[in-house]
Amino acid sequence: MYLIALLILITLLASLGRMVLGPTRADKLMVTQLFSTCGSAVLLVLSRAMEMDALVDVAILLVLLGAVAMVAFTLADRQDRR
Amino acid sequence: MPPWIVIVKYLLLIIALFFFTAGTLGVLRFPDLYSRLHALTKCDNLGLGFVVAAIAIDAADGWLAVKLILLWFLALASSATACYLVARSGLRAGRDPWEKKA
Amino acid sequence: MNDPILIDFLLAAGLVLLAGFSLRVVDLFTGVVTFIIFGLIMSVAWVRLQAPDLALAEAAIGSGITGALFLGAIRRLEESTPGSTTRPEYYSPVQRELYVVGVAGMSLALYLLGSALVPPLLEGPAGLAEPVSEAVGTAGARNPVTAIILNMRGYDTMLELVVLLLAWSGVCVLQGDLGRTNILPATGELAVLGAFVRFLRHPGILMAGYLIWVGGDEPGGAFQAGAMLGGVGALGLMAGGPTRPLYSGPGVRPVLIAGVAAFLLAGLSSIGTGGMFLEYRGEHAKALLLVIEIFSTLSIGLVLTLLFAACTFAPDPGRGAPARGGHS
Repeated sequence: MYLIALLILITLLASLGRMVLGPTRADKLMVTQLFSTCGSAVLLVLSRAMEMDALVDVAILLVLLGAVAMVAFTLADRQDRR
Repeated sequence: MPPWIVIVKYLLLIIALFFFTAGTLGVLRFPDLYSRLHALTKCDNLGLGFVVAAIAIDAADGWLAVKLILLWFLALASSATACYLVARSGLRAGRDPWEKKA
Repeated sequence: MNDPILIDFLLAAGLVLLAGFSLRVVDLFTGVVTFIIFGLIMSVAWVRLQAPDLALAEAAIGSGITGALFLGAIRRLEESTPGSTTRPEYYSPVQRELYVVGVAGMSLALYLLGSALVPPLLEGPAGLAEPVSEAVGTAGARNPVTAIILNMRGYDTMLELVVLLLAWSGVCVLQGDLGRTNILPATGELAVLGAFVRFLRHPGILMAGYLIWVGGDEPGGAFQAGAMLGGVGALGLMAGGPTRPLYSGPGVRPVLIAGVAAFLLAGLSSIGTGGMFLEYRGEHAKALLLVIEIFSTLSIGLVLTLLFAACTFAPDPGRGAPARGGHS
């Protein structure tokens, strides 16, 4: 199970390239969405590997709050155009 | 735990890994915002979905499975909404979708 | 291969890289995105360090709420002074190379130092772990972290709530009356966001309540639950939810001070039953802690929502001024 978590983590860290490359803000912010879902996948796998069921709660929190930043970003975009 | 369950579990995890890898590659390599968002949602929906299925089988605990499915539904809703909003803001900012040059 | 050491190594390396990148980046927006991602990785790192309580707090506050606050602050900065969120690159290429080498060298040195120092420390006396685990039985919570936060070091936690109140009063001083903040009403084009928020708020509130309840036995507690409520509140505001009443209505101030008030009343009641201030023991401890947690969660959630609103939405003197006069 640790191996699976490791491989997901590697793909996750690879996606940091998009954050460095950009080019627009939307592209950069996209990476945070990827990190909150893939991060919760890593946590779910770790919850079995480390036998800590509480990690499922952490994963739920990541997913629930991951959207806040993305929505805040697009909202800012909307107000600028008025 | 019977061996076939273990096999199913790892099979699901490997399918999930495939989607994570494909999604990340797409996010890195696709040419414009819209196609990159498309790749991103594959990670969110299918990758996380297969992980949730594998973990639920492995845990063999009804309440935990309910929580996991709730998590997946939340992820579906949040990724769909967030990606829709980002794509719309990109479109309104006047970014044309990429087209293959003839 | 089924060994977590590579995961830990990747997490540590990623944290150092992201921390460095977020500090020396030329564009504030990229810095904030890096900070959010740093928080998410940090949360996984806390899990690997066997500290799920901290992982919850980091995911909720460090990454979710703080990230949204920063994004709102950037927007306000750009509105008032365009161009203020980027700066010219003032490192030469050689300096940047030196920086990377320096960070890598320092990480290696820290690793060597840590591997030399930590094993002897682990063999020594275990700090306060033993007295805490002895006292947990009578402290009203089986999760030692909750017992410490709410009972053994209740002062700290109460004063943290006071700090949040101070932050909000600072915002009030700088921003003027609460009713002046301009929150856009929901329009047809935001139907998707509105539907999402309506879908999310029930699981969100349920999750906050659940985090309070499990906090006694397992990872969870008032700050995590409050951050959850704050996130739901922020999303609700962005979708154009309740505006004026939430800001300047008569219910706001009582809820803001509810957490501190619950702490004080519970603390005084413990004096009445022969204990010290903020010291709870015996059979009532669990109920008292639960009451404190519920009210603290409400206060934290409201303060975070209001801070987010103040951070993200510009004051609108034109629309709010008459309403303000009428209200006071």
